[in-house]
Amino acid sequence: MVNYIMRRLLMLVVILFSASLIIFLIMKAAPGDTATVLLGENATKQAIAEVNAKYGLDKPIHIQYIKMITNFFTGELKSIYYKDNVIKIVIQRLPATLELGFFAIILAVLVSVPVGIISAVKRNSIFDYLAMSTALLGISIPVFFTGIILMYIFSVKLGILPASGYGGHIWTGGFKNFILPGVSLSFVLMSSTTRLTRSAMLDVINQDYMRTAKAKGLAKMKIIIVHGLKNAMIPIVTNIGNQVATIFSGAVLTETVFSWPGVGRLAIDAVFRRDEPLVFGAVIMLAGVYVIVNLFVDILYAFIDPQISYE
Amino acid sequence: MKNIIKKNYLHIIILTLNVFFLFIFVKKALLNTDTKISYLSFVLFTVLYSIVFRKKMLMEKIREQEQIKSKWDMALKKLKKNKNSMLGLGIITLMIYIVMLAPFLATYNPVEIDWSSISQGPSKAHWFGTDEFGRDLFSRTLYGSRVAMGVGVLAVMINSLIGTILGLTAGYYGGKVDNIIMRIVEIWNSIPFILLAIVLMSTFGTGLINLIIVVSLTGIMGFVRVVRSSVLLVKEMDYVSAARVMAIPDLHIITKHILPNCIGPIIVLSTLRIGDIILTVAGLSFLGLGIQPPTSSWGQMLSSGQQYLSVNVWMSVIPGICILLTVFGFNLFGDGLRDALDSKLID
Repeated sequence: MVNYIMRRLLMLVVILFSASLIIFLIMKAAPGDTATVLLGENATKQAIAEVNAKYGLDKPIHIQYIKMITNFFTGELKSIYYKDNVIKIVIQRLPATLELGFFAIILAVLVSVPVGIISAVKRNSIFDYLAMSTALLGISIPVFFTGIILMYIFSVKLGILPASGYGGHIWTGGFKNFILPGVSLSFVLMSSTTRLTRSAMLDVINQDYMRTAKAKGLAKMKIIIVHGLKNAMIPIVTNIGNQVATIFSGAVLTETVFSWPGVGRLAIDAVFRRDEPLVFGAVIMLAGVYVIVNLFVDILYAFIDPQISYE
Repeated sequence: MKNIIKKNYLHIIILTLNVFFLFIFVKKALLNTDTKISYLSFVLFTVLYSIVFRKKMLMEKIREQEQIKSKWDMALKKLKKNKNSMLGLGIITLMIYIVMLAPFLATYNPVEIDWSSISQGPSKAHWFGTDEFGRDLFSRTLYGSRVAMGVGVLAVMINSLIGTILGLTAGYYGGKVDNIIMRIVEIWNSIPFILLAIVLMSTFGTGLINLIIVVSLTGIMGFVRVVRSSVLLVKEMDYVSAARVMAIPDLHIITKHILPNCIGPIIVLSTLRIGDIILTVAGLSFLGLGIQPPTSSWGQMLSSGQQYLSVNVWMSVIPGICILLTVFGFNLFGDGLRDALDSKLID
């Protein structure tokens, strides 16, 4: 187990290193150069040379990359727009994104697992039919459309919930602001997990051990939760792990709809301002969070299914 | 004769409808290049459809005599029975018609600005209302379908092509080749898609072609995985070993003996991916990284709709429902295909 985690951590470093290289190379392949964008088309040659020297843009490409990486870790990589340390800016914005993401994941699990189980147990009932139609709708709807519709109903028409903005941490009174973005972000994950819980439970329900448990005269609830859900858990957790990427892209869109001051919004703004160091930093750190969450999901398997070997 | 009509009534209705459309739109066909191309593509579609229809009838005759039932016949039968997937196919067909006939169905020029009617709700003159520049939303919605469907279909084609080639190579040769390809694809996949898209679009600029390239480059993983695992299943079969013993070139074995066994999963995955891609394209356009105005795309229409949410909610609702409906259609049909082809590899 420890061995496995160590190997995965090593892999994490390799992945992040390669990801940073890919992103760096893509950014360097850009048609225009940073100095011209910063100074405008009419900049003198001398001014351009000065800017290039200041940001190290006149050096060969591999040196630029090494410099960017070392600067990133030593905290010297400064955003062009904010004129501040990239890591510091991203870390300031990170809680808002993480809280929103975790809120959405927890909400999705709380709703979808029970709904999926009931759908599977009461197969072909009205409840099953309704739940599955809603779930299919949920995986087809753009996350920003859900957001806009919720915003229209609950903020513009009814005026009960704030339309946008971040009201502080979820535990310090910002809860109201979390509801709309959280629900719209959660809807996609909720739908796919409901569908998966249902099919995983259906696979399990017809197994022999379920019949044995029934024959033993166990309570129905106990059979479903202890014998059924425990075995259906692996595909469900896998799905949540896979969907972390969807939550990420959804978060960028949700942050845009609800003017949420998260890292996704920060990255988009940085793109439009051509703030290369900040784009680099934000994307690397988001990718890092993503890889760590995936690692966490993989380790979670060990606790759910001891049969999985890590050799 | 009666039997033939009864069995193929849907195809006959579609063909009659096509001829009807061709007849009533012939007057407008030579108006401008847009209508010319649309009309020509519609003629081509009708001709192709009738050729395929005729071939199908001939095949059926042969089949009836010889009583052959292939894997594909069984899948088709199963698919036809599935009402949900047929609904999905209906929605997709409707969208294809809208894409081809957009210039004939549109009531206004989609980019024409009319300051006298800004942000109106639905009315007799403007069926879906107008946007913040007084442009007709109905016409814009029709033209918006072209971006969604066009990019979706094209990107999936590139996507599945690259993914299939990589998956076939990795699965067939195994060992080091497999390891290298899978690691590279994994690393590529470990950067969350939206971030990759943001970086790529910001570097190479916005626009239709860049959008297609970005979207096609970022969804390869699914195809590589699925194709690779079905190659691994087939590779050990006796007929592949026999082909190898006979010293048939690798390329021939891969394309003639292995690829046909992967077609099912590829079709299912492609159908489901189109839905995903339409959502992604809409998302990128919503962020301002996709198609630029005044060209209408659903994502960009939603983005401007949000700014006028309290003035005219239709500006958001209509493009949103269009995206929802199209993706819904592809998902329904994809689900049905998966069940019919029994591709357990995809979940």
